[in-house]
Amino acid sequence: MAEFTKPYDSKLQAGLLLLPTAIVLVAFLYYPAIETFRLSFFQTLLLGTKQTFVGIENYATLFSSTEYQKSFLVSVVFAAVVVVGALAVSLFVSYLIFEVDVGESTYLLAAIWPYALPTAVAATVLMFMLHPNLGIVSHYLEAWTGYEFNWFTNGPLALVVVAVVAIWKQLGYNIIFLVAALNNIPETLTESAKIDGVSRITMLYRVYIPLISPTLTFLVVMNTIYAFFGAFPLVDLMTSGGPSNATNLLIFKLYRDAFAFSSLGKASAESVVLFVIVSILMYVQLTISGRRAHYGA
Amino acid sequence: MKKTKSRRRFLKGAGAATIAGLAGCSQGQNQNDGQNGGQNDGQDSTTTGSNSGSGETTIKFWHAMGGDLGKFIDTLAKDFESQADGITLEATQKGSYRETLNATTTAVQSGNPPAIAQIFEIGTQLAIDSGAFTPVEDIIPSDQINYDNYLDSVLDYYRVDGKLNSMPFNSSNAIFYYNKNAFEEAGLDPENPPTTFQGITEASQTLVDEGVTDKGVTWPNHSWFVEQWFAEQDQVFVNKENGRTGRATESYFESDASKAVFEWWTDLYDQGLYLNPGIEAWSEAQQAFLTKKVGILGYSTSSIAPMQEGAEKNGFELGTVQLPVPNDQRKGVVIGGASLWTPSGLSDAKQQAAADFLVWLSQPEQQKRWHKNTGYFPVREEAITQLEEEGFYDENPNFLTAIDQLRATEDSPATRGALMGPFTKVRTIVEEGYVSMIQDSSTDVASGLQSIDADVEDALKAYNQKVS
Repeated sequence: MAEFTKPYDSKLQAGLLLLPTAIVLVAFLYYPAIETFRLSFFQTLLLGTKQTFVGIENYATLFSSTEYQKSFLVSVVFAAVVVVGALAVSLFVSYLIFEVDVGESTYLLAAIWPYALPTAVAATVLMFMLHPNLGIVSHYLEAWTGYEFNWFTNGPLALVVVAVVAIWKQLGYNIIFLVAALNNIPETLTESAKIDGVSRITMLYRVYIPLISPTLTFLVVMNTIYAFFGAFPLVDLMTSGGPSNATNLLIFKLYRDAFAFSSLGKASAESVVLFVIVSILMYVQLTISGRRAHYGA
Repeated sequence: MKKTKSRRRFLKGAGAATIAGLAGCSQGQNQNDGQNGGQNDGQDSTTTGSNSGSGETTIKFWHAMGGDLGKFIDTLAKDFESQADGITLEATQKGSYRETLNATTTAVQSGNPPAIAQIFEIGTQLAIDSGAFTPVEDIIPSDQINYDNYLDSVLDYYRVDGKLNSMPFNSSNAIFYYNKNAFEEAGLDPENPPTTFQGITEASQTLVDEGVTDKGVTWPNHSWFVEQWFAEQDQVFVNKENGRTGRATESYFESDASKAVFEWWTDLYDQGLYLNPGIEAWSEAQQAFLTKKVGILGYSTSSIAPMQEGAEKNGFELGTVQLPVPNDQRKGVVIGGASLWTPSGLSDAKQQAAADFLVWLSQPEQQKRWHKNTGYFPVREEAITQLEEEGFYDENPNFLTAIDQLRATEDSPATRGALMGPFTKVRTIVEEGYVSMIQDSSTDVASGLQSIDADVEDALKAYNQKVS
């Protein structure tokens, strides 16, 4: 190791180079995190005016609240649907793009495009397209299938709508990584498998997926984070958590408690709980996939 | 199509702002001598004299008005600067009403607040409890303002414990709009629109039966309408005279007045006559009306001007009518909209500049412009009288509907409107409560109202605990 060139001259220089990053992290991540943790033991009026220490009361209220339990359940179901759905669809699309001979880059561009759209813009546009009474998509859907597409009053349907939009929005991100990973697979492997007469589906399942498993692991983690934190604008703009809390995801609920209902203390407690849930999930996912993902020889 | 229109509007607005800006520059050079008073003569060019002219004061005005309204506020700010001596006014949109309130309280805590903040009516109690604001009555010298000329119903809303906390700015109430052409097509009398719940149901039925529109009527699923209908029936929302003689602890969602509202509203939906645009879905409701999916729309008076423009563009004639009521008795409506607050801890110069702006803004001249451009009504009697004399209402009868409704309002605890800390939460409870009633047959109106009532009282209790 000693013969490697050191990228810096002294420890001081190294420290200086790290300083900007450290300052940003402390100011915008660690300090707010600690402050959130502290606030979760307080009851507040408006944004932090008049703080009263209440111990673990905020947490106690949360765990006994049926509304919060429902919100937890909805978030878990939503995350499961979004992670599985987004990965399955994007893997399928990526494989098609990888296999196609003509116009690969055009397809790739088309598949990535939704990701470039700001989530809030996408949500607003889709809201009008899918609106039960005004939307053009709902209009034809109802005309062709005869099914009443009223997700304003149908809870499970509302969750499905938000989940489908969330999956669609995440596809581009996944496809970029998956297509890159697929293109990294040595041509020789594909050729020899083909000579052995392996079918396309088996090829994907037996050859490609094991080879791109590190990328898949990464995407499972990123999509889980997305499902828990990133779907906020969709819920905010499309359903406001309704009907009857059917789409009241944890991240939306904590935002609303903090900034709309002015209970910053309670919302901080929710934030801490959400952080713990997602951390545990990350740990479990990384441990499990660590055993199964192949990181090469 | 919408894009080009908004671009044109933007150009118009930008052009107006530029002209106003230029006017500001040229006038700034021959500054008027400081001269006291002048707030009652209604002249645009009067100066409020307390500034000596030597020092330059910059004050910030945070508001929640986007789009055309926001641009109009910029124009007003420029006009104010051009006639004020040494005051620069920076008007900034801080997002929605809720975001503006949050931003202002945070800024007060960190010691750098704006001089003026626009806060919505239901944030009144919360703003008072935050202790972050000074009542405007305390900062405007009494010789500069004459409250007798203000509309009583507006002052009654913002006066708490006998003190005016904030300056009424954009005040509105709820009226119903209807499509005159659709009425005619369906064989209804376009000059004689329905004024009762029953009438709205029948007219909607006719519109649908005659195949003129998909559904009859729509309005945003917004607690604001429910609050108005409570007031019309002289029913207070919460106890302690609507929270004005003490902290409210009980709500009245199981009252007869409440049942009348929710039974009618759910029946309308069940009969396929009410188009549900969504919770607080103003733009969706407006869209449904302008694209002729419905013939009748419940909306705010604040949008008369854009609504008229929209109707014209879609080729129909717009009519307006006062809020329908369960029977023919009308007690009146509650003020909606927002008012302007001044945070505590400002320097004397800034506070004075803020007071100058508030006084200037409530002069009839500014009030008239604001009214004509939006539909928010003037908060001073004088402005209305002047407009009447100018014949504005003869030419624009739709603007008069709100004024008539306001003038007919009888002063009572019910029509003064509720004061409560957790108002934002209460609104959400009411709106989600309505959805649960139309969602499935298992929740009927009575049990829906029971759970709204319980949830609202829980919210009141939790809030009262915090402030006690």
